[in-house]
Amino acid sequence: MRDIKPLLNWAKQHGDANIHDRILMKVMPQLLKNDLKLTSQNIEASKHIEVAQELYDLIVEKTQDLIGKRYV
Amino acid sequence: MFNINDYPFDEEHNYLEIGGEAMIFHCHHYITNLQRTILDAEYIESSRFLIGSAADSLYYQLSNLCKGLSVDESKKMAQDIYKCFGYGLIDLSSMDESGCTLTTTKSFFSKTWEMKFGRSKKPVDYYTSGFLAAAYAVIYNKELKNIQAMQTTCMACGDETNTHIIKLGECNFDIYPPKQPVRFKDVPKLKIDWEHEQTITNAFLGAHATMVGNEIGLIPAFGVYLVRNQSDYVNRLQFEFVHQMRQVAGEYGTTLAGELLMEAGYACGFFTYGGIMTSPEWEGAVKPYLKTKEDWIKALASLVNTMGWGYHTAIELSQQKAVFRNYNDFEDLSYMRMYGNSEYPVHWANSGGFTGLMQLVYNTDLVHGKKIETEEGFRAMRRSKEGYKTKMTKGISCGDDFLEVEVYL
Repeated sequence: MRDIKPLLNWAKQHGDANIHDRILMKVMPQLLKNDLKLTSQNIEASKHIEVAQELYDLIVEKTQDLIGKRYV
Repeated sequence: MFNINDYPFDEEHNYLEIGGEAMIFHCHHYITNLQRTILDAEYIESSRFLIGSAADSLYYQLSNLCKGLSVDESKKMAQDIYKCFGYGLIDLSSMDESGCTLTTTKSFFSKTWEMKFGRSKKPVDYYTSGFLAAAYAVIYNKELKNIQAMQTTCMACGDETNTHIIKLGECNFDIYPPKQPVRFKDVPKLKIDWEHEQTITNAFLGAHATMVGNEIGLIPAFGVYLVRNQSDYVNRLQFEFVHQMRQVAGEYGTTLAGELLMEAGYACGFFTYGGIMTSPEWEGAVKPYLKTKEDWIKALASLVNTMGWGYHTAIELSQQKAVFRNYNDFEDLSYMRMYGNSEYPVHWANSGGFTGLMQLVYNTDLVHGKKIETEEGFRAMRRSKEGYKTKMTKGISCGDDFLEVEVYL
């Protein structure tokens, strides 16, 4: 399991105001497969959000696509 | 051939209709944001409704506008409205019984997409593909369901021109059932609580007719590019998107889609209202009447009530909280024409717009003449300030008498 909260914090610093919603929209089918119904509100409220490695990798890929920068 | 002044503004319902289609303005911030939101959901076949929605509205509109016209006159009419409404320029002279391969270098969609988001990996002017499919169908008496419409090159992708191919073949866009006629909700309106409302409204009544395409078919105004949309075309994009997201993910899909649609409305409200409220027209005709921040919002409502979006008013207004209404708002009327009643409010663009307006007036220095014009400025503002929240509480398509939305800190 990997924590996506640091990635999402990075996304918020560099992306549009609604970047979390855009990321969620991009990966929605995979979120559902993993039984996750995240919202931007619960992203804000959570200190950690643990996801499976495969989902983590996908979220990193889509976030980088949306922001146009590599996540470091 | 086409003259916008031939179509009177319905002052009673704050509504404008051309060739049987309700017409409303949007800005490029809204349109590109909306389209990008839809395209983000790569797992739905959105091109079918991105093209189909335009084809449907234009088929209906052009059928009315071209009644009794010859083939050449009909082509001129279609070219004229495309330009007048701010979509760019098209030349239909090469269109014939078999369709057309049309190129253009003037496209609202391609230009503004690249302005806002940079280069695209795929063509972005779905509207024009739909427009051309409808024009072909009307002018050469074809059925939409037998037409194929696609864009093969796009300036937003770095190509020199946009190319659209329209021909008979397996239809690649959605076809919709006939719409119902418009049904206004004729109830007493709670007027804007402001002594200068009528002065401002009268000053801007008819001004919409000056907002027409320039020599390259674009409408630069208030620091944005405006486009005069067929209301049902643009609203169907929202509704079909939400319907498809509901099929993918139920209520979760609907909720997320709604958040993103509202953000598109927010951006529109922010940039377009900001542009209006820092324009020379505002400075001359409106600012002398403004004493408080609440006056700014009431004046803006008085002005936009001349634009065809419905009648905007506020029943509660302060920095902490506002409750806005819109009587005969364009989104609910559209939904009812095309789908009937709704289980949930569908006025995301209106509600986002009101939210952007509150942020603009109370959380920026706009009233002191400082406007945020850049994308980065907008993002920085959204990150740094506590944002307003939005709760859509009533909608005409839900059975209520008006749209109502709460915007609060």
